[in-house]
Amino acid sequence: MTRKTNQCFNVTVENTLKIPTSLHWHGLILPWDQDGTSYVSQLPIPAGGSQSYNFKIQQTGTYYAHAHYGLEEQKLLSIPLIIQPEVENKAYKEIIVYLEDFTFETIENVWGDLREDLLKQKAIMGRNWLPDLSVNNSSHAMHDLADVVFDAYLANKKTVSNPDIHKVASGDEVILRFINASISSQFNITLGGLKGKIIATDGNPVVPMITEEFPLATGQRIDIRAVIPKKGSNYPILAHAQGSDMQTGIILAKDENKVPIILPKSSKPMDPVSNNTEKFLYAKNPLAKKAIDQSITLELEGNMMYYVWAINGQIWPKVKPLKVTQGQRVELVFVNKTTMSHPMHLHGHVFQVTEIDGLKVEGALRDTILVMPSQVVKVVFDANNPGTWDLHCHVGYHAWGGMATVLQYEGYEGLEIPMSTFMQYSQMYGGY
Amino acid sequence: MIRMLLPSMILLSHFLYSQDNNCTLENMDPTKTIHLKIVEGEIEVDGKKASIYEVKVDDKKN
Repeated sequence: MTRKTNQCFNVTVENTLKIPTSLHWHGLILPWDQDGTSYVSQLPIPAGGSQSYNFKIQQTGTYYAHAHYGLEEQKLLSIPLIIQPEVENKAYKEIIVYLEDFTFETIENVWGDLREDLLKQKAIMGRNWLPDLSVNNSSHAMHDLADVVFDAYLANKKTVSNPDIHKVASGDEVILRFINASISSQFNITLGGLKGKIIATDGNPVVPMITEEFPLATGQRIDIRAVIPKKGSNYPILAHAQGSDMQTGIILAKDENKVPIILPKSSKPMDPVSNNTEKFLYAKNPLAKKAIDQSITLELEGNMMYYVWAINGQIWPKVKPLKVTQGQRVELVFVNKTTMSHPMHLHGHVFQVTEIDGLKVEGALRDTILVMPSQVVKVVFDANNPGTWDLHCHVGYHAWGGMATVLQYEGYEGLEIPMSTFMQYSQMYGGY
Repeated sequence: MIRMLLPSMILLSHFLYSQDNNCTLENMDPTKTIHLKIVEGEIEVDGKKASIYEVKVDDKKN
């Protein structure tokens, strides 16, 4: 479909499902009340209802939109959203690599399994019983890799048995736009012998860095620029999910008759996906030098056995907003006290990574940063987009299990939603 | 330009720091609105079908 556009976002979303939903414009800087976040920026779009969005687009690059109602991302409710500069560069081929995890199970069954032990304990101890969030009762001392066993991983809605194949030729310049739209999976991505340069993270340009392999946490995006070499014929671009031996991907093919067969399983489960690459990324357009006005520490906590997650001891939806003042330079200090990785996502803002485990960096601009177990990661942002914003782990099950909070500007109250509505919403899949 | 590259993909042209300050809900130009529809769909994975939710660009309205 091709049509003329204007300078505004100008989108209407119609919900034809039999259940409510909402669509969040992930990574976009936009007015807070158009962020698409159920019960934070808007009421859910009811079955048969619709909602309009119109704001000035301020960014270019790789983004996506996904459900922000319950755990509907598990049902693959999302789309890539690419914003081109005013003058499009036609010299390169643009290839989207859209990664998702997939299960045949229902949301209720997956969530019920995760919360099974909590329900049993509550049956004994009473409905209001909650586990000690400081107790590490994981079966793994250092790093738990995955909560859910998925049936497949998808790239552009396909498995590697029948992969998306893109015809390329020697000398072609390609931009690969990787989007991790999974609900829960961290991927390690290999370029199949192709050397590329990371040119953008979460839509924001970085100083180009040569790479053949890189991590991508859920909610993150990375753009890779590569030139197809004279040597070699086909390049399998593969994503390996942390903790799983399954892989997915696409193929860049010079000769479509000689496309290699990619096995759906690799030789061993994927090791923990690390954020080490982050230490070598530099923002091309860093934030202006400015003193930090306010530092907010977010202790990421959880009890693995009972599957309850929290930030600073507060379990969503019973959270007190973190307050910032317009004009401040704000530092967020993520302290991961759990045995799982948490990709932390701030809505409506772009932050710069400044420190990873004590190593100071003038890092990438992002909206989602992976915080590994026992790690401390610092980011800064300018409080220049007033409103009430979600700040949460982008592993959907972690956020739904409590690891979510709200960042609120002074003078803003957010939507007037009774706590009883929040509680009803948060318990709609059971598990309480 | 807005065009489909993948099923259910939106590509937006963009004017950085646009002088147009009328991008508000009150000033939506209905002739330029992109209509998205959230629908129940189906996917086949390893020969087995499953229900999914999809975002479709509503061709009838666009």
